[in-house]
Amino acid sequence: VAEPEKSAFDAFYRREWPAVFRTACALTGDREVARDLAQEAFVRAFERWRSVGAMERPGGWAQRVVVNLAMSWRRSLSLARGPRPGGQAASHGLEETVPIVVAALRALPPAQRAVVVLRYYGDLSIEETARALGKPPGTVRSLAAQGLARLRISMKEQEVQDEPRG
Amino acid sequence: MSRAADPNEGDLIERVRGGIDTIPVPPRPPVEDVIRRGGRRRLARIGTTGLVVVIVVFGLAWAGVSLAGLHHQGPAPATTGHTYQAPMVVARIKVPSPGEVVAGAGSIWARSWDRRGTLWRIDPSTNRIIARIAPGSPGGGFLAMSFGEGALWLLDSDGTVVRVDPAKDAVVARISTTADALSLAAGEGRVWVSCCGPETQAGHGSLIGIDPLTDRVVVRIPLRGDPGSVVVGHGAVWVLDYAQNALLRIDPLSHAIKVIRVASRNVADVAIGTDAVWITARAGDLVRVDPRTNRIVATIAVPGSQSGMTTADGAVWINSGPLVKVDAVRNRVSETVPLFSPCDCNAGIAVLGRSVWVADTNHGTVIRIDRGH
Repeated sequence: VAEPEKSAFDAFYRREWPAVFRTACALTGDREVARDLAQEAFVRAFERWRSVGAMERPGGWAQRVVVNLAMSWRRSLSLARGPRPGGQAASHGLEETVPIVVAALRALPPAQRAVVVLRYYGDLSIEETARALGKPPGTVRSLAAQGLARLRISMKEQEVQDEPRG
Repeated sequence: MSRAADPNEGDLIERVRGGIDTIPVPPRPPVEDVIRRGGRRRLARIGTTGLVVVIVVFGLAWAGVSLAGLHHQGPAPATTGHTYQAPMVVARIKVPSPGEVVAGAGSIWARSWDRRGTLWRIDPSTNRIIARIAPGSPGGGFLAMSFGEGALWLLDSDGTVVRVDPAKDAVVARISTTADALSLAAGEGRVWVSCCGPETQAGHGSLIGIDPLTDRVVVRIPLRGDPGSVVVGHGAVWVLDYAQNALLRIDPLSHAIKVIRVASRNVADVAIGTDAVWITARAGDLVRVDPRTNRIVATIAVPGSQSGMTTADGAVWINSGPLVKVDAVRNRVSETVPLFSPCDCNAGIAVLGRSVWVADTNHGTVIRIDRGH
């Protein structure tokens, strides 16, 4: 491997690793699986580095790959149903370390969660999100709006519960 | 350009971003490992491409020789005496965002990844779409599809099982199960639906049996763990349990459950073979279970991402980015057919006649591959 190529990839890897890992973690709820999926996404990025490295946003490409990997991980059922407290995710203690918003995010229906994560954390456009999830752009718009609405409600409920009773 | 319609929404989006950003990030695997693995695959891809070129050149040359009346019986790796022919792509049929394909009633059925869950019926004799069915998906898209017991069965995201009559190309029944249904398979006189349990009660899953004669739920078998993919064969219902990383063998009559634990991490898919039950694991393994002894008898390393799997005539076909054929007699990978990037594909793969059919979601095609011989 030529040194310039290695250096460029290394810089990309350092820069994008946290976001790609967190995307995987938010989608799967399992830190160990998320780490494996994120690593796999970067292996694939290097495999195609000539084209990926020339992209305007190679980080977006890696985000899409990790989403597809998460879908493959549970044959898309993990996205359809998502991790549940007490299941595999809980065994890695994610619930204890995440703020309310992430817990609320994980309670969303899977399609809404995937759209919210990609759109607002991955910073993908409507069209990119639609392509990554295999859904029409109109559906992605609705899912994003529904997801945010449900997030707002569940966070308000949580905040009310957390208020000290007088 | 702001994506938020109002300040509150903008604040919420910022909280989402900020919240995910608080997830602790583990150390990165060494970049050298990533480069080494990526580099190997790059070389393998170049090698595969070269191999395809060689196969095409030889194929053309062979065809030329045949036309000239000088038919030559090439060296066959098998012992049948037939001319060896590698699997090859023979057709690409346009289908909008195909997510899954199954074979049944002499046709290939593909469902689109869209909100309506549109179904497409493909005639293998012409490679043309002969029916388009809009079953309607109030749940917002189908999760699974299976052909058996004389019908095509679809599982909606809200847990409704939709029955399609292949004689009418129309929906003839809708059966409510539970909102946490995940997968389904038809066989042994029932349509079996695996359910993962309410979201707050992981470990309280179940297997539901629908009587195809009455379209009613007649069986509910409680399952521990996290049930997922389900198949039917060898007189049993087989369900993957993601939580226990195990295969559950369930007797359809007595409902007795046998747990077969799998050492390979992250079981992903299951399929029935002639004398085996096959499991893919995301660790890159294909695991063979002997249904007579309920024991794992082989573990085979398979390249790629292993998105879906089917079996036919002593072989296992895995949609792994490349299409991978595993020789079930020798328990080893025997063919690799490059199709598309693994991350582009979904789980859809089916066998009908002499062909394997694969859903290529991103390119909007169902690919037909001659299985070779």
